[in-house]
Amino acid sequence: MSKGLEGQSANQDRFTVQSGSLPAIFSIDAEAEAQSAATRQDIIEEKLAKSMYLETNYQLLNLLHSGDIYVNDELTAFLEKMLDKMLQAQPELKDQLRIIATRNADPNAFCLPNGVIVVNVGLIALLQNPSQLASVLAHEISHYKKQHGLKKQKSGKEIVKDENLSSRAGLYRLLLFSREFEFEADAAGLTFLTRTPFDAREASKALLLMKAMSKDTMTTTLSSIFNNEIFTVDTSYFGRKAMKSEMKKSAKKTKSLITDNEESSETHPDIDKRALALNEILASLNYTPVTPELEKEYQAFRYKAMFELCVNAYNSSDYLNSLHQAFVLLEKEPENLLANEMVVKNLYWLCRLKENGVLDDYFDKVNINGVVSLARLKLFLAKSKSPDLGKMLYTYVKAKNEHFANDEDLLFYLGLTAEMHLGKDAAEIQYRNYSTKFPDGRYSGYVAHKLN
Amino acid sequence: MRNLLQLSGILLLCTLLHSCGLQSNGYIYTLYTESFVNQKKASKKIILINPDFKAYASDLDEDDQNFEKSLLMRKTLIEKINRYSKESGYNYDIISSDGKKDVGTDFFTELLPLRQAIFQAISNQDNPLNEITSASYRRVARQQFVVNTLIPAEMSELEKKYGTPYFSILEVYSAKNQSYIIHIIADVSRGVVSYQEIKRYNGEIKKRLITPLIFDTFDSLKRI
Repeated sequence: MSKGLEGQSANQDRFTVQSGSLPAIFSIDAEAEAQSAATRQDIIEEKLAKSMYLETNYQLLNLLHSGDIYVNDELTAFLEKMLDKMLQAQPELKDQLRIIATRNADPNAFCLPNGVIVVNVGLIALLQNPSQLASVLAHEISHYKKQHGLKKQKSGKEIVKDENLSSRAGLYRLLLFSREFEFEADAAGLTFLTRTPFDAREASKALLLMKAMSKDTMTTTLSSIFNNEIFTVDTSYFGRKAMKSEMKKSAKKTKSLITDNEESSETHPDIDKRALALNEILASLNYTPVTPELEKEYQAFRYKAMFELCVNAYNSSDYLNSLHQAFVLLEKEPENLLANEMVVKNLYWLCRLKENGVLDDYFDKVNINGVVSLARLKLFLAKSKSPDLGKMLYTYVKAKNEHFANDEDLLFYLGLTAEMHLGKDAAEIQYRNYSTKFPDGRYSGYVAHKLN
Repeated sequence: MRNLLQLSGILLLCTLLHSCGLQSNGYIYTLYTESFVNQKKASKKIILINPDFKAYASDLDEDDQNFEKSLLMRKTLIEKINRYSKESGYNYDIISSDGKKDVGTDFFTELLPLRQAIFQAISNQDNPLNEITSASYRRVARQQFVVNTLIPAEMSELEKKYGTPYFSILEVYSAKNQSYIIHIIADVSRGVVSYQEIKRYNGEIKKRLITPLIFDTFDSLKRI
């Protein structure tokens, strides 16, 4: 029985381990660093550069102190290792760069003008091999090397100064610059990638993966998960009409500033065009592929990120997405205890919201990003009656508790679920079981209140 | 007759001025649980997670934040919290991430997720049963929670580590035309939000306003 991957302690909910004191980056002197960076550059006037760096430093500090950043953990360590491999021939550049991982589920990465590369855990979970991740890092490093942040400030200032330009035309020109910088970073990044121990052919694949991020990843049906002798999933909830309406609701309504559905209103060029351009450039480089490094380690690293997505969503009370991600993990590893626990916990809190009559309001705030299985799960929970869900949950938790005997979390949640479905007396038996087995357990204070 | 007209004119003016005054003052509302009122005397230690002041140039929009001003106002806010929390008889232990105090990674793995869970609980609490129906919304309205706001039970283990079940958030969001002061206390041992005070002020919160607002925040807590 495993709760996660090796190294996961029996009682640890969060998949990555963070320990020790805060890294030096947390206490940077925003003012002094901005002044020093502004003096070093020669693209724009010092005052403007200082103001830009100061803003960047404050944004960085805000991000660092938001709790969304991983510190002293395995994910950041692996990213640092990747950067070391890529920049082993350029130690000076390596010294200027810092890399951090965030808990953000969006598959994205960006580089701040002060050389801090920010990688979202959603991107790590999406990309399939180290070469794809290296291509994204190479692109971000190129933004830094080419000082695109400063150049954007410069072009922005010139546009503001040009009195003949309307604000609409000015915005159009700014977006044009932004897209040009993206193409430039793609090309420079690819050239740089060909000189690293990673496979440059994966660069265009990484881009296309990011485009297809909403592709469905859960294949198991809800009936096969929840059906048992006393509960049957009502599949009429997922009729074509209901699903169509649910998917329509989730379709992104992006309001363009200039025109609708046109590339001209975007900061980034169309991904298909970028992927095509990358392939063209690579063909012209006479590239000889290498055997990429860190292949084996990457799969463990990516798997960790997938667990992180699930646990992070739960910690942010995004129970629907966390539940969906737990099902995705269970498809890969049905006997994984942590994934099984996450199903139980998320379902319990969704049922509580349903019981309190706030589930629909809660669902209004959840974005299903066009994922069909997520829409199906949402419809099922929204349409099922509260007592039916309670019954389903109770039988599910009971079965899991029997299967994973002596698991503290499952036993505690059996008590909570019994309270919801069968009432206080039945729950008391489970709470007493918990107190006997885990007198100093993590839920002992909570259980003591329940028993009083 | 003339006097009567004059009187009604004065009354109308007074009503207008009064409503304008109310409009500019915003509102305050407070909700709490019975168990908090009954037990708060037993445990007066409250962990205050990262008190914060966010100053915005015009709207309450993250992109519009004035970082320098936010930092300066945050310092004043913490000074006032230290002062008035003591006067209210509570022992507020501030744990923040400004890098100057010895904050370990536990702050990020335990307290900030708790802060997030508390805000989510408040958001889920927009529940017909807990809604304030009082017409005198702009005056101080007090009401007990009808349906408890729920925080995941995993957070209950923090009680052992920090020596109190009470964890608090005190944050100020200030923009040109609207500002909010949010003070929430959660009881992790029961997994509920125990006390919640939300003030809205229809204007920017300047330095001189922090003192009366924070005084009032702790005075409200003292009075329940």
